[in-house]
Amino acid sequence: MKYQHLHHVIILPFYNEPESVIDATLTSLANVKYDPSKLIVVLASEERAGSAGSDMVIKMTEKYQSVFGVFLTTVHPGGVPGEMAGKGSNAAWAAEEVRTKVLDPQGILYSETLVSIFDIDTVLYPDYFNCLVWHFIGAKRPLKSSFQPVPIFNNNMWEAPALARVVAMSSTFWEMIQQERPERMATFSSHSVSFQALYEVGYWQRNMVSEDSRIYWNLMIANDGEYDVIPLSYPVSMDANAASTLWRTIVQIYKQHRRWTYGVENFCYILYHFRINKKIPRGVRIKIALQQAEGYWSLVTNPIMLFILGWAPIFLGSQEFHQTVLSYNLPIVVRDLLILAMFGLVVSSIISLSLIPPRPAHASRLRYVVMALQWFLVPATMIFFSAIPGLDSQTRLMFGRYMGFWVTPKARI
Amino acid sequence: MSMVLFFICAVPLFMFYATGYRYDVFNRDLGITATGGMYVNVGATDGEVYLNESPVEDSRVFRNAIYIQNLIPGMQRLHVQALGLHTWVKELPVYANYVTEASAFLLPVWPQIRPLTEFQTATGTMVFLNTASTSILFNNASSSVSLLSTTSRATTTLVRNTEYTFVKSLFATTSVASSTLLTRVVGEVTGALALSSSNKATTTESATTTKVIDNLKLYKQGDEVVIEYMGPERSIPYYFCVPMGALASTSELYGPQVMRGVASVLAATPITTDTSSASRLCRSTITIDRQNQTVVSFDFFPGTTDLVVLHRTDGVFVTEVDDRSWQNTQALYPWSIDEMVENSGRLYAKSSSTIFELLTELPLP
Repeated sequence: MKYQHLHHVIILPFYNEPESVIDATLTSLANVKYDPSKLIVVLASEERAGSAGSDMVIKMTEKYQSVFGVFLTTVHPGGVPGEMAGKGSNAAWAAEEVRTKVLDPQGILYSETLVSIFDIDTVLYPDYFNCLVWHFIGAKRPLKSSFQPVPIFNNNMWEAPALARVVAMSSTFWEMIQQERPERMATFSSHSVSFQALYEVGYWQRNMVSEDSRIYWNLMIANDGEYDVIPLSYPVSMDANAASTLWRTIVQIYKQHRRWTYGVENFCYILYHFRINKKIPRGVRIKIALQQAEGYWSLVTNPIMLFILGWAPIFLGSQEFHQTVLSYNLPIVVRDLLILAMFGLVVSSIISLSLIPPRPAHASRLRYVVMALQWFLVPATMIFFSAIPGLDSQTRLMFGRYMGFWVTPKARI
Repeated sequence: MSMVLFFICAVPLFMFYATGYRYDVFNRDLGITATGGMYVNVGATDGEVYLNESPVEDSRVFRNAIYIQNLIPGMQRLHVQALGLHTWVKELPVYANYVTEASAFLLPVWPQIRPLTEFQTATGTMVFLNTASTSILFNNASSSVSLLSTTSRATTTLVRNTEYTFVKSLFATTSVASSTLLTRVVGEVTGALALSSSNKATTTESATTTKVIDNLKLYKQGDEVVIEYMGPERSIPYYFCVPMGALASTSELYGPQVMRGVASVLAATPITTDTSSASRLCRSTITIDRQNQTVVSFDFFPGTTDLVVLHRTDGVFVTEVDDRSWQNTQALYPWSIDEMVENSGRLYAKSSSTIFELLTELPLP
């Protein structure tokens, strides 16, 4: 299977992340089992990061310039009209810089270039590009496909608090589940796509928060529904959201999930374009719209409903209700259903233990027990870091209090 | 798609199951049956619950009540028993999709008392003065506390029992209403210091023979002791009400005493199209069964409004307010006493010159 003709553009937008984070990412890139001459690495900085950003660029250039085929650094100017400062606008700027400074001058075909956009804390496993190329070449319509790896938040798994670990691993499980139903997938966080497809839609949107999922909808609608997300079933390692104090960690996790659940802004975009673009089969439009609506609705309501369904009717019900079999059976039935569902937690616990990196020397064996028992936090995390941030973001969108892009602080603690 | 279909099929099944519908795979003649349930509060005792003479599997953990489900609608006979305690029995109807509630109480078969003496040792042991050691102090009851009897009358080495002094003051011949405010305050403060009780319900006396707790008033009407509910109907205790659908057979299901109460309600407030949509009809008064004995005094049983303590001429008895089918009455001290008084959740009796506390539970082993 020929693949030597393919080039890879790796865009790494960053803002003010510490050197240890950036260095770990570039080191993992340098160690992948792939011809480094085919790798075009773009370290995309922000002008608004000031001298810290430019110093970082200089340092990384010195270290990695000779490692890859191309090591390009870009500076995304601040204050561009119509842009929202964030990963999307930075990545779009970087993609255009690559095109004009690397691809076009070297005659590299867009159809033979795969773009991988990674969060700056993304540590690659050695066979990422091999896996990507294999799926690209074997795809039904490779130039109309995005490629989604599984994000595993293993970079600081042993250092992060239990709360951060549970939330992070829950996201991993969700993406793993999504890998099994690609017909319902949209891209999330780190992902790959052909440069041709990106170029045709003008790269990632520069004026919104959840550009990682929006690009999929851009591509899907631009291609009249003839667009796929292909699960790579291969991991990339990222940082669990952790800060130096527990309270700060809680705040960061909340804000991060509020940003993630702000992806509901895509729903408006989808419906608007589904109304206009009649070339997308009606059945597909209806199915997707219903799936998205159900997804955003259940995200914010189901955890709360599960929490209150067993006992709220008892407190809120009338005297007549209290005398019914239903009022007595409701807590019992809900309890039994949740006990059944708890087996999922047990499975989650087992799988999570198999996914974590080897125990470092400074961590005691007792941590394995904690790692297994931490899943009892799930009922609380589902409510406080999924449902409530989701309600927050959806309410903000509803009342026009639009959010900007909040950069998740990265720190290796 | 298969998950969607599973969800669509499973949800109605769960709903029907939760509302009480059952299908007995071993008895298909029954088909899908709308069952009911019973909820029995057995208090703090380890009482064994029997339904129609068959023991009910008890899955209580940290709870004082048992929920029996999957009952075919009809009359069910409940009894609760425990070693050394009276047995509580009730026959109640079970309706489809509804839970019939009941509350059992079990008092010691052999009366348990705690004597109080005017003097006690330095370590708190009650001392009966001028009493031979072979004397039988209480031949009608049992006590688990240590007692000392002495033929001596000397009290120099003994300590005056402040509790006895306080309790004796409760048995004043004058009525509480005529006591001075200072006396009552002193009595309450002394009682709070001398005694401890977790009973939070306090009785308000609006008159010497009327007791009020929350929205329940206990009073005498002629020779009868009556309890009346005065609060909003949404909070009325379950035993005041009968289902609207069972009105025609109230006497058979609940007994003529309930029927009389229902009839008086219907006479006062005939059912109209507005009220006919209500699911139940509630009485406001229940007469306490005194078993044709004269009631000397009465009060709510400490800690609950579901039981009434009657000081009758033949002793002290506890009767439940729930008069559906019948009112269970159990003897707390089935011998004549002079006076009974309740204070801070404790019952005290006075017989001749002897004062003792009536205990409502068996002592711990």
